[in-house]
Amino acid sequence: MNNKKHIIIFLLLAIVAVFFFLLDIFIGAVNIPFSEILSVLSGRTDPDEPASIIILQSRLPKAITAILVGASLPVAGLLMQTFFRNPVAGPDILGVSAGASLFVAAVMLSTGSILGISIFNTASIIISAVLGSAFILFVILSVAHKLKDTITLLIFGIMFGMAISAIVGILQYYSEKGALKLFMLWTFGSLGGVTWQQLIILIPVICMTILIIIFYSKKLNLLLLGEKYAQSLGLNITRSRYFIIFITAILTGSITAFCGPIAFIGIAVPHIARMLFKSNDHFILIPGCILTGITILLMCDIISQTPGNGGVLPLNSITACMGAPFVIYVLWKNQKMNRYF
Amino acid sequence: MYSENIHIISINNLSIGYRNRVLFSNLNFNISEKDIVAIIGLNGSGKSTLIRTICKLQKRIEGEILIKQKNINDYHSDELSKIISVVLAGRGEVLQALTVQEILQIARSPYTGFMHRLQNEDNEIIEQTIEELQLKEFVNKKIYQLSDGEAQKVFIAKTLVQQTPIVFLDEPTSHLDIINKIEIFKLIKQLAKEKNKTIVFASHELELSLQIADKCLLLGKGGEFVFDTTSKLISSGVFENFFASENYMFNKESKKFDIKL
Repeated sequence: MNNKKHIIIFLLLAIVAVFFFLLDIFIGAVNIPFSEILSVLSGRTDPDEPASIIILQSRLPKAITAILVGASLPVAGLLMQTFFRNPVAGPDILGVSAGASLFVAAVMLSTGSILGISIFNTASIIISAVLGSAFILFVILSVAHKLKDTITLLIFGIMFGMAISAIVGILQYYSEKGALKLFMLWTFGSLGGVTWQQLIILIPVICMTILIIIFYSKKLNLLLLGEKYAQSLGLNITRSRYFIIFITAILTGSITAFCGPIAFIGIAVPHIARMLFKSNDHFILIPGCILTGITILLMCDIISQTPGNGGVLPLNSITACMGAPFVIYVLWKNQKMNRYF
Repeated sequence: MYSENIHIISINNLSIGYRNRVLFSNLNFNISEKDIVAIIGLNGSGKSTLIRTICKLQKRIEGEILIKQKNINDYHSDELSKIISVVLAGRGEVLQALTVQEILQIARSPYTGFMHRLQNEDNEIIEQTIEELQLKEFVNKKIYQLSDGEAQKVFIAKTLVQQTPIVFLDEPTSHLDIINKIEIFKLIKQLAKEKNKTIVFASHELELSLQIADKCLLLGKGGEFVFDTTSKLISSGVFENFFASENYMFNKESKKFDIKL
C-alpha cells in the first residue's frame, strides 16, 4: 500500500501551504514585522492599529481568497477531466469560466457594479456565474459524446470561449465607462477584490460543495471505467451527470464571479496532483488537488507582488506562465493521450 | 418443458434497437442457470445492442426482460450490479492509466460502503481472482501496457471480483490471435463449470463458439433469429441455411465450415 507515502506528501504540502500563507500575509507594500503579524492574527493587537487594518482588511481576505480559489478550481478541473474523460478538460479551457463571465458581464455591465457589498448583490453575482457555468457545461455535455477525440473537444471549447468573448466585447461596447473599467479589471483575475462580506458567503458555499464531492469519490472512481461499466457497477448515470455538472458549476461559477476567470489552475493542478500522488483514486486526488492548488495559488499570489511599492502583476499572467508550459508538457508527454484517457 | 423456476433469464417479446431503427422485434428465449449461450451473428447484426439491452445499459423498445423471474425494471441498479456483470467489446472506455489492481478494487463497488473501504473479505476475493487467472505479474501494470489478450483476462477478472451469477461478454475474442482465443473460450467453459456461472457471450467465431456453447442465439441481418440448443441447431441444418453461400458450406460432423472448391 502507498498510504504512508500519500500521507507524507499530504503533510509536506500542508507545511508548504501554511508557510506560503504566512509569507503571503507578510509580503506587501507596507513593511510589517513578522512578530506584529502574529500578534494581529492572534488578536493581541488593537484592531484600530494601522497594521491591524492592513492585515485584517486587505491581506488576510486576499490570502483566504487564494485558498478558496486554489481549492475550488482544481477540483472543478478534476471533475471535468473525469467526467468528460479528457485530460485537457478544465473550467477555463472548455469555456466554463467564459460562460460565467458572460452571465456576470450581463449583470455587471447592465447594473454597473461588481464591488457592491450588499448581500443581495453578492448572491446575484454568484447565481448568475453559476448559471453561466452550468449553461456551458450542458452545451459541452450535449456534444461531448460526439467529440470523443481529445483535441476536437479542446478546439470546440476554445471556439466556444472565443464566441463568448466576442459577445462580451459587444456588451462592453454598449456599456458606460465606469462599468467597463471595473469589468476589464475583473477579467485580469484578482484575489484582492473580495471583501469579508463576500467571503462570509463564499467560504461556506465552497466548503460545503467540496465536502459533498469528497463523499462522492466512490462514484467518480466508477466513472474511470467509462459510463457503461460504471452503470453495470451500480451507478445511476443520469443522476450523476446532473450532480457533477451542478458541483462543477458552483465551484467554477462562485470563484469566477469574484476573482474573474483565472487561467490554467483548473486544468494544470489535477495533472500535478496525479504526478505527485501517482494515483487515479479520487479519494486521494480530491484532497491532493485541494492542497496542491492552495499551495500553487498562494505561490502565484506571492509572485504577483514582487514588483514591490504596492504594484501588483496581473494574477492571470502568473498562473498562465506557470500553467501553460505544464499543460504543453502533459500534451507532449502523452501524445497518444487518447490511449491514456 | 422446462419448469419456469430454473430460467435465470427470460426474454419475452423483446424489441431492441434505436429510436429510429428497430434491429430485432419479438425476441423470445429463456436461459437456464449454468448455461453457456453464444450469440452469433455477423458484424453489425445487433449482438452488442442485445447484450447492452439485457444488461440495462441501453433502453429497450418493447417487451420484457426477467432476471431471476423478476422484471429488470424492478431492480435497483445496486441490486442488479450484484447479479449481472459485463465485459464490453475491446477495452471499453476504461481509463488506460488505471492499473489492474485499481480496476479490480473498483469492481468491488457493489459490496462496499460509500467511502469504498475494502474489508478483508474484499481483498481476499481480489487476491484469489488474481491467483486463479494468473494475473500476478500484471497487478501493478497499467491497462495500456497489456496486450489485448491480457486486457481481456483482466476484464473477465473484473466480473469475477464483482461476484455475479450472470456474466455477459461482448466479443471477448476479437483482436486476439488463435492461441489467446482458445484460452479465453476455455476460461469461459471453466467458469461456467467450476463457478456455476451463467455466461452469455457474443461472437462471430462460429466454430469455436459451437464447441463450448450449450445454446445458441443466431442473429441474421434482416431481423430473423433462431434460438435453440447447439446440438439441435446443428442437426436441424439451420447453419446451412443461415449462413448459405456459394463459397462455403457447413459440415455437420466437424462443426466447421468447408470451402466449396
